[in-house]
Amino acid sequence: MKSSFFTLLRTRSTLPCLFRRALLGAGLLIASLSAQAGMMSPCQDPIVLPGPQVHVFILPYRAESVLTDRGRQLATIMQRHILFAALKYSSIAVEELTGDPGRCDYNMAASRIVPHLRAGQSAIFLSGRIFEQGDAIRLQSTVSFLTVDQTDKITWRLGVNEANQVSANIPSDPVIFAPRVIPLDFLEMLEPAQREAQRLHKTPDATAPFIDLPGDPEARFGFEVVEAKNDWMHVRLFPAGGDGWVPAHALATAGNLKGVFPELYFVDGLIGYLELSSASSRQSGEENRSIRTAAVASFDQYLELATGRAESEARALAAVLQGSTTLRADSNARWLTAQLQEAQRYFKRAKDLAPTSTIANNFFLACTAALCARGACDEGSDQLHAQFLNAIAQDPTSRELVDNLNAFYGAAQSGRIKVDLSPAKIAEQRAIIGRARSSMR
Amino acid sequence: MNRRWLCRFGIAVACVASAPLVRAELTNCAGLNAHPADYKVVLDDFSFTTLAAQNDTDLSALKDRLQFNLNGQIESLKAAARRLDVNLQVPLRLVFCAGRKPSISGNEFTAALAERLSDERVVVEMWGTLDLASGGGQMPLPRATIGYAIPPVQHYVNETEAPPLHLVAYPKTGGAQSVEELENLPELVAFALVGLGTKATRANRYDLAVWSFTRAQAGIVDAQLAGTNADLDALLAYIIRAACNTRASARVDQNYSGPLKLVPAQTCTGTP
Repeated sequence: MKSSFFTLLRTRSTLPCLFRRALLGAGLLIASLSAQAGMMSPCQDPIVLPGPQVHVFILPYRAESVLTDRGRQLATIMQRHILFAALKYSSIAVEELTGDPGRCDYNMAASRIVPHLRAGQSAIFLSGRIFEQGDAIRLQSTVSFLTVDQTDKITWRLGVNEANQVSANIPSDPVIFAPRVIPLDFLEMLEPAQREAQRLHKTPDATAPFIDLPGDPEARFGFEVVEAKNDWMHVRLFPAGGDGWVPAHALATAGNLKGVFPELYFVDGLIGYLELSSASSRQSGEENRSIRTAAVASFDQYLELATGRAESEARALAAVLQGSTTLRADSNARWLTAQLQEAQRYFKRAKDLAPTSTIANNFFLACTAALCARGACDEGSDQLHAQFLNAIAQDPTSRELVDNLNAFYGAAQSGRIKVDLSPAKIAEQRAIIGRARSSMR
Repeated sequence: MNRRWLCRFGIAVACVASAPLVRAELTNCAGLNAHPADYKVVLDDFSFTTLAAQNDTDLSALKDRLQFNLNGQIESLKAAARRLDVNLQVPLRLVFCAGRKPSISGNEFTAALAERLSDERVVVEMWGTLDLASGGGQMPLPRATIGYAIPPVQHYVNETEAPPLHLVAYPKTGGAQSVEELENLPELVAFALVGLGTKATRANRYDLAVWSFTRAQAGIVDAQLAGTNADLDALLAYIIRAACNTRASARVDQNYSGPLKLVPAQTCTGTP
């Protein structure tokens, strides 16, 4: 069975541009209200919706061997999989970008997408390289993410004086994962599920009439998830309109995909983290806690599956994001000591995973300083001081570490933090910091 | 075609197949002279030792897999170079030297060459050699050896303190948890940072040196996931010690006023 909206989509390239824009506009209006959306569009002309807080863009993986069909197939599987897994989040769009990978890298895609995102909206870009040989596909993924007009920074006050605070920032560097090997027979195992997930049924019933969602590289469409019912998603297509049911359970076996491809769990956790980062004030406390629980669990699964892989930086970042998610879940940022202690445990985990990571060290030290300022740090302030100096000894290029140590000394001078240093020594150290700052960027 | 001719032809094919395909060549590389102020990572060709090796499908497949993993490391290097340039104004570039084929043992890297490369700001040079190893009377086994030379270490550091040449056999045979790690090359970025740190120390760029050594330490620990060896262990001890010595130098340098002045003195042993 083919319905009229499908015909319209297939002929979209013959439609006058203005008409296409008008159709898309109508679709966007609908989708701006949507909770979740899945999309597919050419890289040259990506769809950016005004509604969802987090967009995930899956770029075509660059094939380094003859692979094109399989590579595209894998991207579609990942798109559906990320979307279905992300149904637990409230405001998400997942879009598969299609086209020549050589003309659709992160920089090109971001330059077309970011200007259309509104302030506070976040974007995640999943890109990579793929290579087929013998009975396996090898791939390596990179995740980049950003929130428009918002720095990814957490600040902790060390006293009543607002100026005396420490902060830690998630850098915008891309996260590069170690290469993975996916056996071809594993993909073949997924194919029936993938075919089923492409079908748009008239009713939530596997025997009901269906149409196939467009799959050609020029297809440009999206769907919003209107409701979920017994493992079926009720979706509405845009810009063409029309609706139907997609079996969410179809990709249940794709849970295995995350086993060989743990960065999907990382992306899953990242969606939750960014939802809390960009819109925490607009959601209820209960919703935030639910998002937090889901995100932390996803990062846990990533960390478990990535154990022993040569990607210590990515693993440390996952643990940092767990701690940050814990703090972001409180929209007022007036954390109880227990909340800080819970976040600190994640930051310590990050530090243990990558002892030389500046990000992990800085989050741990800043959070611990906040606890010490409350008289609640198990390590003690002197131990924290030693750890600050050790972190700077490992990375003297970090302005953030130096600024935070300065704030720590400020809290010590005001008596907020008790530390076994003479006032003269503290003053001497702060003078060194003053000179050092002038030589740093 | 008579039998005698066939016999001669067969002998000739056998001779060609087992003969060395390439003589070790260390041709000049134009890219080394360009951009004299930039630090450089030099990537030479992967070469086959014999025609038989070149025609071996398993060996070609291994080469392709290594190339795929190498491309990933190159992307990591490019990302690191971008960060270095933005955060520390340190230009680092990749130089691809087509046709440059050091021997499997890296004998060409003499003290004189190391000095010249170090002066040209080469922080690491990498090459690959593919051959068929005799498998104890059984079928020959495809084997790749990736060589890394770290010219600044060779030029400035006593070899007993830090090995400057590293030869890594692939597939690795360590106890990695995933087969992917046995063909990964995390050493490239780590060794580049060791070379950069060593150069930076000599130039009294203490912050850059310590940052490089610390990042190199993380890379070597990652590399050890797929197995370690005495040279890698020795290099790790060197960078820990070198970072410590660099901090000590920074503390007493009157011309330096950076954050390392905050750090107390410590004994430099080479252990974490």
